[in-house]
Amino acid sequence: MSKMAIWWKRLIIAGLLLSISAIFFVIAPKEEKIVLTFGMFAGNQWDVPDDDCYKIIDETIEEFEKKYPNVEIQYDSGILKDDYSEYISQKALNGELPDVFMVLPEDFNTFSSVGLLKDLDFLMDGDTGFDVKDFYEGSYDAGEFNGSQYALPYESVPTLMFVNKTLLEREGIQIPENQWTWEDFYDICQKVTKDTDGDGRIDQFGVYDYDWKDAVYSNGGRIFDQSGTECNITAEAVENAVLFTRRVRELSGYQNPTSNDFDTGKIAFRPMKFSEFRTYKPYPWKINKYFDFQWDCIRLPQGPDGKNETSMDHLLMGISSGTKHDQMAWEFLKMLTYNKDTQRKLFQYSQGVSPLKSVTNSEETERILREDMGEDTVVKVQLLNEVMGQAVETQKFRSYDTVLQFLDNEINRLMEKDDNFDENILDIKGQADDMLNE
Amino acid sequence: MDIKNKNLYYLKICMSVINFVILAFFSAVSGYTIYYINQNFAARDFLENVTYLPMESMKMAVVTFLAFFLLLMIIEVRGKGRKNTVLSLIVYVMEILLCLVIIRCLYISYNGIILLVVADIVTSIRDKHNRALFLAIMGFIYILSDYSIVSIQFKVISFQEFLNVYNSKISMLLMGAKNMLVSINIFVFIVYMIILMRNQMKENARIALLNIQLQTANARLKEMNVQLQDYAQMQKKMGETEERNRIAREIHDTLGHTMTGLSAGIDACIAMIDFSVDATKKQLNKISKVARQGINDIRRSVNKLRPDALEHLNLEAALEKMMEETMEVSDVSIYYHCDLPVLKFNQDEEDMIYRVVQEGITNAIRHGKASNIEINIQKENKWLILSIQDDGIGCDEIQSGFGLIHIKERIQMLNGEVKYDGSHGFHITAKIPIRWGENYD
Repeated sequence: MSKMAIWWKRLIIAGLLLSISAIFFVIAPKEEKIVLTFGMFAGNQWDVPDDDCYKIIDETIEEFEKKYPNVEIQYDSGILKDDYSEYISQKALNGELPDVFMVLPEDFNTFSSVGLLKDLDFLMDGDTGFDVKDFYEGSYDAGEFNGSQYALPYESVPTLMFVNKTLLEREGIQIPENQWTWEDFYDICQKVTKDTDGDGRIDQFGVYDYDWKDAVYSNGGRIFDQSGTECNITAEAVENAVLFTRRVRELSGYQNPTSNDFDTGKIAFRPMKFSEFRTYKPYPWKINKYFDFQWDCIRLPQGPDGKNETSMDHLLMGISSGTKHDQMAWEFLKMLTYNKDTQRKLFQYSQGVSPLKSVTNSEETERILREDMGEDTVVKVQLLNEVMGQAVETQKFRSYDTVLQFLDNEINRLMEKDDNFDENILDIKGQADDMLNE
Repeated sequence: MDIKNKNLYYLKICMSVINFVILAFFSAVSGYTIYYINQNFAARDFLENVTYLPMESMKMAVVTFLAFFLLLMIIEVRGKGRKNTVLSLIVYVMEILLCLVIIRCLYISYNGIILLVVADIVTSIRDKHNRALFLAIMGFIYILSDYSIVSIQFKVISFQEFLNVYNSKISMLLMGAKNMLVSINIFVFIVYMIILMRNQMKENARIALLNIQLQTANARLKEMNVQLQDYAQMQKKMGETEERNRIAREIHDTLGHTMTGLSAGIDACIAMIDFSVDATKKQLNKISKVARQGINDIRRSVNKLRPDALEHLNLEAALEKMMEETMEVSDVSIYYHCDLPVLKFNQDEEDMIYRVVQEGITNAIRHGKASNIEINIQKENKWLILSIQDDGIGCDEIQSGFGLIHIKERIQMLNGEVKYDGSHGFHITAKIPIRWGENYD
């Protein structure tokens, strides 16, 4: 008996010692210098060519290390955007999440929901030099989830409307003003949709790729309610937008324009991201695409039911929930997203718009745009400032992407059908609501 | 440790081992799952389908086992610890925290560790209130530490979500293994409780039996006590009778014999005196001798009835012994002073002095509430002066209680005088004419 008890006691003590020693090997490996890790992907989120993807980051890191000599920042280079989500997820599961990292919009909901991202509210409250009003609301809002801020916007890209100036001139149509409406848009599309070579097939189109979601936003509508529990597609603003999109598509009959038609200058309009505009408008990339004709970008046409809001893509950056140096990580995050010098470089080396008002709305930016894009473009600081100020807030809940994908498919199919529109759209709403409340 | 507790001890070890296996199982499964996910590049999908980011598996394992072994140590050590309220409180709180840590680390998918602690509580904590409170808290945690309940409030990944990574067959197999281990743990716990309960029941039965035995023994004891009292009374009576008989026999043997002799002798003298005066004188001389012999005999008989102390000791030693004994049993201080070199008198005188001193001291304590008594013995011509002075309350008027009458009687028997004075404490002065022997010339 006593022998057994003694052995049992020894076993317990041995286990205890083993566990304690494991702490020192596994949990607390000490470092002398603070090493912050940074997670980023190569290239950019908008799939346009990018030669300088590391330039801004490298310079910022250099600056930061100069400011804080005891900090060293490391990052893995060469991770492609397509692999980035998996890369960050694996790092998270292995407890090696970078202290500061880029967050793709499609990952943001999941990452903040499962606790990868640190809630920044506390850090922001404790920082007197930080004011959220310096950001455009729509961009800042993209990093919010369930009432807390989990990420800050690094770069935003609004959607604009590409205009084929050559085509419009040929048809004797003036380039629309920035404040144009759906009806203006429809009229122009109607006018330009025709068969130019007389082979009985329509070969000149009004618009390519005009998405029902773009119409919804420009009509002031929202696809889901604020809490993400109900789908709003039967609301007037949304339903009208869907019907309008259908009307526009019907102009070309059963013949759908292709991207080739667009590239060869046979289409008047196309929604286009600012990044693409920014890449292909100036030299050297301008010789790669759309060089047969004159083109420019203006705002999307406004619907009759509400504000003309613009959908926008954001590149977010957040801090790991498991970081051991949250103050330093916060400083670095601020250096990337809140520092004017860093943000100014976006206009020089990147393709997006700075989410900081004072950077975007500045003479310096005006100058850079003028030098790069040419005098004659409509896209000036004033337009950007306007669009950024009227960005659609991103709707955020976990099933957002899944349900949106479903709605996209269903509504695009609905456009093809003629009958029972009201019944069908109610049916789609019912299915989407079920998905939301699963 | 007896055989029953030995079984319980083995079961407790068994439970600990099972819990260790479960913990190891959890650590291994979650660790391997993460590895599996990484190998299959399924991390992003995995995150999409889980409630919350799991802890790093290595860290989780380390924390779990550290908490587990700390818990085992507490359980092992508690049985021996001395009582210390603050320390034991800290230990209780720590135990609760460790349980919570382990449950948290195992993603709230296993709470059987509480059963191990409960098994320990019911045997190791003796304090009833503490035990009840602690059991209540543990029960509460056990009931609430259910994943479905906790996940309403807190976001935690569940064990099932780990298993969803695998195909359904492997997932079911792993879940089944987990459930089996949990069941074994519960089963051992139940067996433990049953054995404990049976032991308790046996113990209770034994106590009840002992109680009955005690009651019968008590009744018998009472009965015997009564018998003993009767017996003691009888004994006393027998003693008295015996004493009486002894005295009667003594009187009969000595006094009777002498008296018979004397009366016979005197009868002979009466008859003889008319014939021969000489012969009568001779006879009377003989009678006188017999009478004297009788007195001696009586003295010897009375001697046998003397106070105990005087029977074995001389007067001085007897007095000192009495005074010492009195001082031992009461708060009174007695100062004794004697002028005479030797206290050796006739027996009746010694008896009288002893009794008077005894009575005086008793009176001073009982009636005078004295704390100091002074006793003086001195010689004045042929008189012996015995003075007893106390510092008690005294009395204004001398009430001749029994004791004082007794003293007076005794002294008068020897033709002495006695005086009382109750004005300053109480003072007894006795003048006794002594038949001074050859020691006092």
